[in-house]
Amino acid sequence: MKGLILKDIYTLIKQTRIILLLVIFFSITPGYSGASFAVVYGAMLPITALAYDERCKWNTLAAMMPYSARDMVLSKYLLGYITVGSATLLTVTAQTFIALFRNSDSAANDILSILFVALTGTVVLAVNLPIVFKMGVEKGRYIFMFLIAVFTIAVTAFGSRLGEIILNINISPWGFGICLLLAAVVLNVVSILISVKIFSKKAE
Amino acid sequence: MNAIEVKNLTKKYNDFTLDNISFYLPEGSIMGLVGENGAGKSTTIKLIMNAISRDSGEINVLGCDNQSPGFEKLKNEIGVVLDEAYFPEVITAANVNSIMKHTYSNWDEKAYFDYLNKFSLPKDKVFKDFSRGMKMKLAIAVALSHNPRLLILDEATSGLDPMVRDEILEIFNDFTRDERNSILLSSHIISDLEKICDYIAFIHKGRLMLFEEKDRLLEEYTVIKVSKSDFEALPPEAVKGKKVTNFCVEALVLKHKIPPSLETQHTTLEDIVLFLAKGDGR
Repeated sequence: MKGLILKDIYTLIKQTRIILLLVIFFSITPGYSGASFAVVYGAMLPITALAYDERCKWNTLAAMMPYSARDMVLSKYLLGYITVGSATLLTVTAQTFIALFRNSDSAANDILSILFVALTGTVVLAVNLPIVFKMGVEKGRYIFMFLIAVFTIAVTAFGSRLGEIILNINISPWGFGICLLLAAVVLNVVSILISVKIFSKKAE
Repeated sequence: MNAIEVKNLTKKYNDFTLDNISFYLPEGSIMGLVGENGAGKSTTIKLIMNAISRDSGEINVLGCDNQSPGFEKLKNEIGVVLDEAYFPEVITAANVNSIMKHTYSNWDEKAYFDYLNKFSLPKDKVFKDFSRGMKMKLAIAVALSHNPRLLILDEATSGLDPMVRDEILEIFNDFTRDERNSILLSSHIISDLEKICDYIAFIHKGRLMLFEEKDRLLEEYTVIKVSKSDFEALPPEAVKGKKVTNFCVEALVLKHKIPPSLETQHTTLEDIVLFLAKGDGR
């Protein structure tokens, strides 16, 4: 599987330099919101890698190599965790230095927020990858955009009520973080199982 | 031992069926898989590599059922070249080495770079800037650089100029000098197959029309050009295909079933395949 990830990294480094530069730019941008973009861009990179696979029909060749459907699917999730993890690490390091330089108190909150965004990034992966494996990159992107629109409308409509409910639960940020981590882990495991099934079925 | 054994293989699609195909490739031999576009050659190769699932039949590769859990590992010993190289366009031959080093457990880096030198392939030029010949040579270098016992080549020489094709066929011949090594080679270019193959399997519209040793085929079949009346006098079982013109009949016949007095023509594998595919039997 290392070979598959290496292939994606070579391709991404050479073909998506601008996106990688944007990830670095947003990582070192002071404040939580700008830095969050870096992590979200990181979460989108496995989809870009899949688009390049589709373009050169890599899967046709990989099916002849000692790779199982599980390897093929898992490599994209691992790539996602590597890109989200790297963007998060870069962002947290940069924000810590910025906070130290500015002597700011808000660094801890910002870093916690970035970790939340990183977990959200893995949730984005978990939702996005099965759709893309099933529909292909182009259609998968449209469906994902549709889901984002539905999510945004739902948050706009019910967000304040949801906020009230969360406040009433009176959960600490760390408690909320652990819940989000567990949710992200469960969602990713389920997503991987679904993706392997979709990928194997497609090969029939 | 047989390197490949295919028994009663069937795969059904909405618009195409690969129908009950059986053949084997003895170890140390080269088999040519012949057939028109869409005949089922690539489907057969994908089924052999278990890249798609079969509807029925059995496939054994290097002594292993290709649907058994051990087959994934056995792919380390199978080199495959498809009709295109399918590498990402921005990677270089040097990148390919790093990727394959982590793909094949028996990857031979030295052999790979030796092949790159032999084929005059640049190490740092990106794949999209390679010519078709260079791309196929790179794919062949990869297929040969993990000590395979079996090479499977799907139209690997199509679109290459005769000089390059000849060079590559020579490499395939060298590969089978070790009698543990075998090759399954599908190609439109029947003259190439005639040069190097020991066995020929001919697939036409999803059905196996012929599976025979090449030398035996060339011994058994011949083409004759006779008048219509002479043709009518031939035993029906002797005729395997015919082309009728206003003046005569050109026919593919079994040599031992026609009168020895009939004049036969020099017959190539291409003649035999074309008659079987196009010429209506009697």
